This record gives sequence, C-alpha cells and structure tokens, in this order.
Amino acid sequence: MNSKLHTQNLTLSYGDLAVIHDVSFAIGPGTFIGVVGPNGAGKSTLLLALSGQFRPDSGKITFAGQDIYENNLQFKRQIGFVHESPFFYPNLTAFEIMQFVADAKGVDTEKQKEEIERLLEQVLLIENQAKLTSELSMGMRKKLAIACAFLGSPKIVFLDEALNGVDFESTFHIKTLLKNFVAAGGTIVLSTHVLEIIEKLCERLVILRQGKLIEDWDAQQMALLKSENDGFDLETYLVDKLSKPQPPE
Amino acid sequence: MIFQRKSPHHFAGDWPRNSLAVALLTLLAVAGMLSLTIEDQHRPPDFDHFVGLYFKELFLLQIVVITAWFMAAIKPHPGRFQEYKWLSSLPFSADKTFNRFLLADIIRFSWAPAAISVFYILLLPLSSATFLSRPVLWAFLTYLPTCTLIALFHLFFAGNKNAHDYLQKYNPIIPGLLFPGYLIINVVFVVTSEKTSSLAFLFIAGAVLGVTALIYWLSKKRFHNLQNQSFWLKTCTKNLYKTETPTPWIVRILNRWVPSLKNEPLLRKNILQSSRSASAVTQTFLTLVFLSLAYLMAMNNQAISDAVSVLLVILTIYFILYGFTTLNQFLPEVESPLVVYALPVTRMQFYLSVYLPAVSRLLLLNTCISIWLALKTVPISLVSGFWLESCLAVFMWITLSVNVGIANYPHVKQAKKQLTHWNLAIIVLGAIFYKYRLAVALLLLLLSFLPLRKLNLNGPILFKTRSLPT
Repeated sequence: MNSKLHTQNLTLSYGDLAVIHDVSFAIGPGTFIGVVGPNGAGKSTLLLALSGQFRPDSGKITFAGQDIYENNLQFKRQIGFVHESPFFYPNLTAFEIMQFVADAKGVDTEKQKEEIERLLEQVLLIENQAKLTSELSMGMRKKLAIACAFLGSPKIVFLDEALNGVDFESTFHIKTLLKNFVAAGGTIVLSTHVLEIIEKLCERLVILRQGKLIEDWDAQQMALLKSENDGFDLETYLVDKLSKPQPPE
Repeated sequence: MIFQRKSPHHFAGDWPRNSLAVALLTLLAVAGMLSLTIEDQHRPPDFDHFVGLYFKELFLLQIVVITAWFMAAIKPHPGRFQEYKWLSSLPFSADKTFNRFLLADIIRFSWAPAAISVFYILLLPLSSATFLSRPVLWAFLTYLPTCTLIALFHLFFAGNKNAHDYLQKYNPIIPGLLFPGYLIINVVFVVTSEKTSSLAFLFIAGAVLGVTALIYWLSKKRFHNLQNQSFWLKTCTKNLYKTETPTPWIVRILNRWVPSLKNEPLLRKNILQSSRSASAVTQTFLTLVFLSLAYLMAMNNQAISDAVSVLLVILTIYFILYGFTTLNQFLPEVESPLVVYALPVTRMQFYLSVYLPAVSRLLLLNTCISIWLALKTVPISLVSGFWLESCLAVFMWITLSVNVGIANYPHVKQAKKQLTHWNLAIIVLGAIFYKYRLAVALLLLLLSFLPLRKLNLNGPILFKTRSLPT
C-alpha cells in the first residue's frame, strides 16, 4: 500500500493571520525529514496539522490515500507525536503511562510489557520506570514521550523540539533509535532549531518562513549544495537566506 | 484526578471512589423516594420554623460555599490544555476526551453540593431524614446540569477572541451567572418543598436529569465539532501571536498626573494589574457577595448600632481575606522573582507597589459604604465611627499582610502560613484582653515590622540562599 503522507495546498489561519499558507509536499516511507524556520514560521502548527490534530482551513492531507481527518482515529493509531513540553498524569509511573498509551494505540496486552521495556531501555529510562512522572526531570519526561511515540509500531513519528534538554548519552541512543526506525521504513518528521541534528540525521529539509514553504531539499540536493559550495555551512546559508526580504506575492 | 495510579487503563478511572459516590447518590435517591410511601412522615414538625432557621443561618453559609466554588472554578487550569494536546495526539475520540473533562469537573467540585448538603443535615433535629434527603438530593441533581452548562456555554460562546476558554480558564461571567442560579433553584426548592408532592418531586427530578442529558449531548456535539479545528490554535501559538493589551484609562490618567510613576515600574505595573482586576467580574462578584452577606446579617439586628457593629465585623473578615489575596501579588505567576531580582527597584518600591493599590481600593470601599449608611439616615456619629474603625482595620490587616509578604519574599506559601499565625494571635489575644484589643493589635502590628528591620528597605532586592519557589 502507498503509505505516503500527501499535503495539498494546506492553509491554516488564526483569525486573519495565515499561520500556514498554501503548503504542498509529499513524504514517502523511510524518510527522515527536518523542518526548520525562524520562530513563528509555523513549524509546530504544521506538525500539528500533519499529525491530524488541527484541521486546515483549506487543503487536504492524505495518508495512504485517505484523508487523515476523515479517518482520524485510524490515522492516529499509526503515528507517534512528541510535544515540546510533554504532559503526563502526575499520579502514574513512567511504566503506567506507557501502558496507557499502549492501550490507546491498541497494542496487544500480552506484548505490552515486552515492548514497553524494550523502548524504555532504548531511551535509558528503564531504571526510572517505577518513578511517578511528577518525579521525572524535564529531560526524562522528553525521553518518556519519545518512548511513548514509538509504541505500537507507528509508521510516522512527529518530533517537535523533542531532543531539547535531553542529555548527550541519551541523545546518542535516541538518534540510533531514530535511524533504525527510518531504516526499517518508518518516517520521522522533526522540527528543531539544532542544525547539527538536521545535518547529521535528515535526508530531506523543509524550510518555512512566515507560514510558507520556501525551500524543499531532498538528499541529493543537500549533497549537491555541499559539493558545489566548498565549506558549505547550513547555518550561514539559512541565516543568509532568511534575512533576505521576502519577494512580494 | 480521574486517572489514579492503580487504574490507568480506562477513563472511568478511580473505581472505588466513583462507586462510593454512586452508592451514596443511590442511597439518597432511595431515601428521597421513600417519601412516596411514607408521605405523612416526611414533613418537618414546624415548616415555618424550619424555613426561618434556614434563612437566618444556613442560607448565609450556602452563599459562602457558592463563593468558594466560584473562586475554585475560575482558577486557571493550564494542565488541562496540555492534557488536551496530549490526548489529541493519541487515538482518543472527541467524545472520550470530553467525557474525561466533564467527569473531572463534576468530581473536582463535588465538595460544593456535599457541603451544602451537610448544612441541610444540620437541620435534622428540626425535621425528618426522609424530608431532608430531598433537598440533599436536589443539591446534587441540580449540580449536574450546572456543571454541564458551564461546558456548554464555554464551548458555544467563548470564541477565538476570548482570553478564557473551556480548556484553560473559565470565563468568570459564566459561573458568575450560573452559580447564583444554582443557589436560587435550591432556595426555591426549600421554600416550596412542603407543597411539593412526592410524585411531583419525582417528575421534576426526572425533568432535571432529562435537561442534563440534553445539555450534555449538545456540549459533546459541540466539542466534537471543535476538536481538530483551529479553535484552540491560538492557545498553542499564543506566545507568538499575542497582541498588546491597551493601557487602561486609569493608568493613562495616573501617568499624566503623577509623573514620578514613570520611575516606579513595579508600582505602575501593579496599578495596571489592580485596575484590570478591579474591573474584573471576579473581584466585583466577591466584593458584592461579602457586601450582601454583611447586609443580610446586619439587617437581622433590630438596633441600628448592632447592625453597624455586625457590618464592621463582616467587613473585617473581608479585610483579613483580602490580606491573603494581597499576598498573591507576590506569586511568581504574577511577577517572576527572576524579573524582580533583575529590575533596578528597591524593596520599598516593591512594598509600595503592592501596598498602595490594596489600601486605596479598600478605603474607597469603606467610604462608599459609609456614604450609603449616612444616606440610610444612620446617625452621623455612628457613621464616622464606623468609617474610622474600618479604615484602621484596613491599615492594620493590609500592613500586616504586606509586611509578612515582603519579609518572606519570594516564598508566598510560607508568608500565608505566617499571616495565619499573626491573625490567630491578634484574634486570640484580642479576645483574651478584650478591653485592650486595640493596643494588642497595634503592638502585634509593630512586632510584624521587626523582620523588616533586618532587610534594607531602601536597598535592592537580592537573591536569598534559599532556592526559588517551584
């Protein structure tokens, strides 16, 4: 089955302000896509819309040929989402939170324990599985949210500034988790300001500015840019690109 | 919390507590229905005496409960929006999410009808258990549509431009209108309960449940329509798209006429906040509740001097409570301690920024009440005595409160605890040495300045070795 995520002429407004304006692209399976842009460019909003949480004012988002807002619950069972500041019920332990999400995603009860422990080990949280979520530090909460997102064999995982505040050792292990997930045919959509992560992990880069998609590079284009420009630096390129005035419509 | 430790797997959550609540309500319903068969026994021995006592004592206590419910309901609940965002990213249907929030609200505030019921039960010596089970059941029954209506009104009327919404902070106007309505319905029921036959009661109870079901259905439908819509987008992105709040007129005037205010950033900010909260429905509602309470209790006295004394006592209670709310100005949510430490302001400026708006507001209130008393043909000597004593009370409690707040800054919890101790000391010592109560109060007030001696009031506000409140 074609499990592409298609976005066509996506527009999302808040009052008179268009937060996302006429954005179209497609993401195929096994892709690691980075979304960058200045503050207020619409990165988080785009991720929320793509993950079926905010219906666009106009345009269409389809996954495997089906509108994600028509088959919303079915679509959400196939994705994982990590918020910038994750929420958890304070009275539940890390393990219980994962059980809760596993139940919601319809993970087989018999396989839950095994899957939860495997993921908690991967994000280096296994020793804290019995701790209440209110006792976890922000970095640990992020790790727990990442572990939750990978429950139930998702096809796409959305990460909104997910690696901020995570210690370097855990970041290393999480990066491995992400790479393996993509290698196995999964899709990652990552919004971040840390360009080092983009450069090291992403095969594709989407640049947003004032809600508009201004550049969409695939792996070849990224490689070409690097080969054409000696000492190519993504940060300098982006600063230069985004500081130029936007051409009139 | 509905989601308790041992039951994370379903929305109904905490079964033991929920089952207990259901069992209690069933018991009440059965007791209420019992009156069908024992019609002659369910009437109180002296209905007029019953209603008289209800209005003299219980009704006033019920007003206090409603006020407390209002104050609890309008508190912001930012965790709820976070929860909504989290549940939205999971495969949870809108219906389940709405049920979760509604049920959480019903359980969260269930102490309100429970407290009201306790007051009915206090009338047991005057009545029968079967008779009293009816108003108790009625208090719980009418509580359900009240909670559901809050959801419905917020979901229908709180639009994109409104700062308050169902998931973040209730608009005070909605509970401000609904809660008095709830109280009125309950009072009407008590007054007419003698004439209401059991069959009629059964019919009315059924109608209330039917209306609740209808409101619930409408709210759920609306919530379903709003989920995944950009309705709540403003909250997700509010930091980015926040617009400037226009300066209130009172600050514009003060800026013009009091030039030194420009050099007092915290004072200016506080006046701005006070002028906002002064116009806010919340504060006005609370003040009105206390004034009504004071009026009702004062009017229970035949002698005008007694009425004025009761008025003064109730207002003093209000000032004590106001002292506690004044301490909220020191909360990190109002003004981050990190910002205060970073600003070039002295402790005295900070002190005045909280003290002056609070005192001037209460003095204005005192003056208005005194003018009203004078217009009601209360002797001028009595009015001037009332005004003087109430002003002294304002200075006394607010000074005490701000002294404690500044001495403990930024630890507001500790300050509130200390203020409670000071208040208790004043009340107990004032009662023991009643003849010298004014001297005792003044002495304790002077003692409250002692911790400030260690602080340099004209110096900058500096970090203490103790950590900041989390």
